[in-house]
Amino acid sequence: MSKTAYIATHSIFSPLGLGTETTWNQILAGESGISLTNRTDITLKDFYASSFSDAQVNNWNKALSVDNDYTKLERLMLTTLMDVQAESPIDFSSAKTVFIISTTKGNVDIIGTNPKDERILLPTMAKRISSFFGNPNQPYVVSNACISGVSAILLGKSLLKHRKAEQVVVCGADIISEFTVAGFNCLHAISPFPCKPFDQDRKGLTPGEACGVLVLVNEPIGKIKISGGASSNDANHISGPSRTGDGLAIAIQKTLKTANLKSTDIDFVSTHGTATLFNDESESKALALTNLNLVEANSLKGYFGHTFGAAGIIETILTAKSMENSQIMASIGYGKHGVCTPMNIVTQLKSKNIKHSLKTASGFGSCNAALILSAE
Amino acid sequence: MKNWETYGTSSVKKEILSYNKVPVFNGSNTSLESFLTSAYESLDIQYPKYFKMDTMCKLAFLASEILLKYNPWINYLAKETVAICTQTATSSLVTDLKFQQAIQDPEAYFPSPSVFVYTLPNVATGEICIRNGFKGENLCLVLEQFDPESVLFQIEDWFEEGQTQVCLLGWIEVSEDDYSIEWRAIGTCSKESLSSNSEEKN
Repeated sequence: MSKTAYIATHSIFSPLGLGTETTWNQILAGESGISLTNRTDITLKDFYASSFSDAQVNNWNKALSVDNDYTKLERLMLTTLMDVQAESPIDFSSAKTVFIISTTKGNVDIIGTNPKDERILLPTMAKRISSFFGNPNQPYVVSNACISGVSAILLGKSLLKHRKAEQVVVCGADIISEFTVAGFNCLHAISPFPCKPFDQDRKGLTPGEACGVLVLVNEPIGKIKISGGASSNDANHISGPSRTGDGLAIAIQKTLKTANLKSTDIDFVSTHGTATLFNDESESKALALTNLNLVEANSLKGYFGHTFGAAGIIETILTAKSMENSQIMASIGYGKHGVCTPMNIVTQLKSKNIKHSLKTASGFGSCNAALILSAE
Repeated sequence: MKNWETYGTSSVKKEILSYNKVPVFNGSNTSLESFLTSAYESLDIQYPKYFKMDTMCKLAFLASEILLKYNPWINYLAKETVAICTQTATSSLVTDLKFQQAIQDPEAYFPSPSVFVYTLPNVATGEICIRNGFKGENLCLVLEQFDPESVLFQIEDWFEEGQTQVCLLGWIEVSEDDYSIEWRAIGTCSKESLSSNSEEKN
């Protein structure tokens, strides 16, 4: 019995464009989705965000042509899922396909206009997505703060291992809303300039909106597999990471053990790197505790902002792409090293053969997660 | 294949706190607010952080305290081997609405960080981990109803990987007009190792 989940296909939809290939090329061209954003629906003050423009939203609404009942988040998911479907033979309507939706806040943007709207409930929203494709199964919803994407992928791997599905569609998305911007603003967590992960002058995260879809299968169709993963809790503080990084270090150590690998086997680390003071410091310490701080690493938050429920999935997809292309993407926003622990942040596109990569994530509620991707 | 056993269950429903379905504190005929205080007092603990929590976390916390009070050995296991997996239908909607109210009216705009941090369903797990020092696996699923079967295979994987000994599997459902909390402690510790653990404790 196969114990491994292979990445069959994927897509990313962000302000950088639709499709993994488009996104990859935009990143190689040094483009970022982040700009000074005027979203009067959210706040009167301009702020830095990786936000879809009105023109972009109009365009994808036209291309999608579904009825008005679908929310912005649902349209974002449907567009990305349809992009995956157009390019792969995976049958979304099959009883052997299971959907996992990863999101932190779902349709929270409609909570102000109608708090009784059923679409606010995450299981209802998830079912609207899976039923759109005629899928008969109950979709899973993982809502585990900013580790949701990584946790959803690991749940998918477990579903495949136990033959509960032949293919798992992991779909992660969140949108920028008045709710989340107000929340992170009152925590003083939003950066006054595009986020600068691991930089000395970093001042917080940049909110982003995007969707990432990753299809996992049991058969070795693709070259990249999920070879291990684990989560942990810092048991420290509900909205701040451990000062020592010990919680994330536990998740990394467990992940190495599940993949039957050692730290020295890891060729690349795709960090969480949100650019908040505490996250980056804590994460660098966790990497030092696991002897991984000098391995080439990047944070993709400089391209997408923090996309919450989508982040772990998008970053896993682009890590897989890095492995296929033997290229590590530059971490933008990083100039002067700004955490106590030495690190090896990649600042220019770098060629490297990558056999095993580590992807990390941490979130509110003191949670952490990690997974390892391996090339066959 | 089932590789675990159940050590105990706890619940809070209709202002009654129970262990293995036997009521251990009955606060029925009181308001939820006064129940949350009197049930906490019945635990006879000093944990001021409790009063900062939202209703969902308070209820989940109360039931977890009862579960662990009757299974004190769980707190003697290596902390990174205790996992928490929760399910909920309504997620943190009650607190979400409270936060939304604070930003709805530009004339009375007052978002509070202490409310915002509770607008995620996995924060209850965080609170219980902080209380007990648990550092194991975390997973929070949002489903229409409590469905342990839907996630047992994942927990069984954690057990099989040999890095998890006990999982607290919970249903944490709080809506505007009702709530229901259930916990079960499941794990791979044999009865023999349990008795040696309690001897260490004595």
